[in-house]
Amino acid sequence: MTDNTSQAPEEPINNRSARLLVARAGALPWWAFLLALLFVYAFIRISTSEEYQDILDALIDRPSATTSDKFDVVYEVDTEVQVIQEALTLRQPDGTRVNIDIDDVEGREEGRLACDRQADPDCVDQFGQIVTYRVPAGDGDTPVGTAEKRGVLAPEGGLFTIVNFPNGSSIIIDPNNITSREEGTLLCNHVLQPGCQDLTGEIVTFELPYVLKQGLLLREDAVIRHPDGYVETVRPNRLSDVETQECTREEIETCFGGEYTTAIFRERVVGTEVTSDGENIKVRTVNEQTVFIPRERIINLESGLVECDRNANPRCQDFQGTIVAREGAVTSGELSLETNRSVSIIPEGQTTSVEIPKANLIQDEEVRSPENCRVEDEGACFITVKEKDSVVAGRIIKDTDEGITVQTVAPVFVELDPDEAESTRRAPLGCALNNIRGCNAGIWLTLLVTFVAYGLALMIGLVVGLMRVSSNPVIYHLSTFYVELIRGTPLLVLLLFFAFVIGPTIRDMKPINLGLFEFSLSGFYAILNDIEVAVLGEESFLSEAVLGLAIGYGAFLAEVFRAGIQSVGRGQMEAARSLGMSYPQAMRHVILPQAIRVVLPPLGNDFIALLKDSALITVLALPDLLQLGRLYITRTFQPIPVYLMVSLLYVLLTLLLSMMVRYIEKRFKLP
Amino acid sequence: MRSKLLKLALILALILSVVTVLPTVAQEGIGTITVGTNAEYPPFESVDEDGNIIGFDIDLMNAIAEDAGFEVEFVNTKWDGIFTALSQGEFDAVISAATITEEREEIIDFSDPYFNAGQVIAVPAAMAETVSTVEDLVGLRVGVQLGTTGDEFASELEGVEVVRFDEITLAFQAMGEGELDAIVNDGPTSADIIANNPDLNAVIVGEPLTDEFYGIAVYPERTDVLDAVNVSLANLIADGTYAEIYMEWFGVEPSADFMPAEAVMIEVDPTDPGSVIVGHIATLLSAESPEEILTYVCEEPAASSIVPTTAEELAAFAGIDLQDASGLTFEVTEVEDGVVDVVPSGNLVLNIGTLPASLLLTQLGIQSIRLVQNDEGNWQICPAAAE
Repeated sequence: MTDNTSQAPEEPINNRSARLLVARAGALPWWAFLLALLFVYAFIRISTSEEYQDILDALIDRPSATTSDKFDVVYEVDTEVQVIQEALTLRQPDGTRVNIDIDDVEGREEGRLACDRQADPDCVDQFGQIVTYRVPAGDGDTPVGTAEKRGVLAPEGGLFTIVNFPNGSSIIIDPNNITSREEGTLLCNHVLQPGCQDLTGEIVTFELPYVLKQGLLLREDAVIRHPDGYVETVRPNRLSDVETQECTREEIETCFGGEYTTAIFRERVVGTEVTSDGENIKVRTVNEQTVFIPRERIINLESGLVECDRNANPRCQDFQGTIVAREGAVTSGELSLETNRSVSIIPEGQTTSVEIPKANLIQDEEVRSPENCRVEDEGACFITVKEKDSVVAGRIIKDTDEGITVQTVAPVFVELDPDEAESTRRAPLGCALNNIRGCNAGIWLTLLVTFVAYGLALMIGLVVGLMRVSSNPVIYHLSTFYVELIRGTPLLVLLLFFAFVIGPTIRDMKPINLGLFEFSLSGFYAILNDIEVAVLGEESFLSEAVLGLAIGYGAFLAEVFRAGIQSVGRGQMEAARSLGMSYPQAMRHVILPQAIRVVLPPLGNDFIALLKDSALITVLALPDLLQLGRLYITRTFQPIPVYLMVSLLYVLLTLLLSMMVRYIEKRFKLP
Repeated sequence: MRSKLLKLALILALILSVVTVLPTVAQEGIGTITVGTNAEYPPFESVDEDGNIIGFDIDLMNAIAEDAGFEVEFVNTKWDGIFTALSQGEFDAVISAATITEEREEIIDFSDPYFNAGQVIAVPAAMAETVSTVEDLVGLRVGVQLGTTGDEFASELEGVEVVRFDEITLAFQAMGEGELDAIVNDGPTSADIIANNPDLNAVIVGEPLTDEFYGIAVYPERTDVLDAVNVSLANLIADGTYAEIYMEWFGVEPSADFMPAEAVMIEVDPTDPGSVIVGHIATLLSAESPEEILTYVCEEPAASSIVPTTAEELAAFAGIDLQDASGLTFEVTEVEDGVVDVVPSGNLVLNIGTLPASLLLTQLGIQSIRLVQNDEGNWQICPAAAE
């Protein structure tokens, strides 16, 4: 078909382009219009539906202009703390667990704990750290020693001699074992149990015969106190430089048992790193929580002491704030689940249910339609419930005509000295234009993997394609071997092979010394890991996935390049050589430029195929578009809209890419 | 033309015969149901070398079917769409080590619980020292199976990188290669995978993090299947079949919830002196009024009268329970016909500690406890004074 625009008379530009447009449109088949209508309809549905917006949010991390939440971090810093108590949890041979104080430990070693074959002939011996500890001797036991203990005699022991300890426990003893008595007070542990009662009475010192028992160490806990008074339980292996000093009775608040133990604790700061104005690293460890109360639901406002939310922030302090009494919310929708304790309702216009404890509902205000319907009934059961009036306490941070915003949990920021803090995790958070590394999941990961893998595949394909047309038998057979082997392996198998076979093998390989320089594949693997961390912020199977895809598609692209090169007439090469060009020069200046035209359509085709095959990386636990979709489904059980959306996004991407490819083809077209 | 007509007639006849036969094969009862399972989760379900689906869940479901009188057809399927498929009727039921959660209850029905697992943390042996609780996972790469309760649990932890695999076996492989630092998954399955793959060099650390009650998920329209499953499950637990299946796959007895109920009480046999003593001590220690004690005291109390008979003495026993008297042994000596002396030894476990029986005697100021047989042949206690 000849292009007859060159023969048409000269027309004004806009007229001509208008006519071209109409001509082009007229040339389109009838179903193209239907498709266009479908897309427009889909676009409108999606942009107005909250459900689909939700799904889009899950699949695409839409970049905001800026974000100050840069990283999800874990830092470790050394702080000085007081050690109050250390306790161990052990598993006994009969399977039960027991807690013991570190003072009762006689010794520990790695070994095997023989289980109680008499109690359970089929039991299994356990391996691990065996702790030998002291236990009060019972009847029929032969004590191996006695330990001196102090406690206060319980006056109401009656027939039995009961001794109370300051930590709240008691024991029955044989009065003959008492070695001394005196009146006095034993201090309880005010740090561990603030407000506890000291024991006053007859302090008895007695010999407690003990036997030794053994148990398997399950966990070890130390209770520590920070300088700000916050007490927490931690693993003892995070403590170092433990020192014990004597203390005086005046320091009753921080001291007990006559001793004061300090240590250096490797504290973890977990939270979100935000942009800081100074040199210090600024981490937000507790996120702000707010509640919006519409003006019409406010019953009463008064100032008062607010008890802070210790679940959100264990270290918070109570403060003076505002206490707001608000009317209970009304929720209306389809009943999806009813248990003894709660009802779950899907509010109108939404897809996920809200769970409301029955204890919060006003029974008389519950309306069901049809009357007294239940979830199991045929047809939907609609319900309207009203919650009881409740109280919200915090600080008012915003006050408008619509209502007030109460901050129930204040954000907590921690500043760290970059020289002292060590980071164990620093993953980019939040996709934003000033935090591009945060755009590393969902559709962004799919695009990243596709483009990088294709770039690599192009290079591999070109090289191998050239090898495939070489007359050198070694080069030819090597490249043929690669092509046949890889083309014969399913892409999924290739990816798994790279991740679980090639990856670990390379990582563990010793560097090969080739005389002048060391050839280190494991070093190469380490570089790949560094790239992963630089790009995504954490290690993953990304490099294996990209390499797998690149090498897999490289085989196909090699054949495409070969076909392109061979499509250029033999005469071209002969002519170029006869002009005095070397083989590489001929290739570069004569053959390849002509081959490109032939090669572009199939290359574009393979590019789009790679985009779709990128969905395979989900098997390597990479959070690409498909995996995020599946994850969303497991949380909400809504497969239809999610898979529709995922397919739509893939189609959109392929359409965009194919438009791009067509544009490139046009640029290289012969006149 | 004639052969064509003949063919048409034959086909019609065939169709008609099938159609008329169908209604007469009346489906009485449940018949055969399809049960979906993700057979990559040993020991609950997995595929053996011959391609058969085997496992604890499989045996249990077969036993339930046998008890209820229906047949089961198992279908191996992927995990992460299994509940959606069930809610649309692709299967009649699903048994796949599935934890009962409220979100899942919204779209399908669960049977009564048939197992209590718990999420545990598995780590390479080299890391067992430093990791044993949830807090220790901070900053680590933690593998989970996509869409399981382990996935949900790990996703809520702060500062943890969650790596989601399609199958948990892949995650263990990755941990064996050093790509993961830890795995959060159901205890029994992790234990099984670790036990069967010693070269993974992995261990389970710490204690179960959660309670995970497994249930059999049923298509909501098949209420007949749900009821049958619940009834049969209760039967299997009560008659000990459940315990047998459990023992076969786990090597130990199941927890008390899944064992035939046994009354755990101190039963007193009035004709056995030892039993009388135990009952007496239990009463002594938990008596609320003098009258309860006095019924055990014989007509002529001994002179020293150490046995509490006043409210003040009884108050001394307040709050003391006898938890376990099984450690007691008795030495019975006959003083004369119808009168014995009993010396208990061993340990009583009270809620305030262990009480050696010898200490009890010392505190009571007696050397032995004297029992006297009354006319009906029942033994009564008279304390024998210390010599």
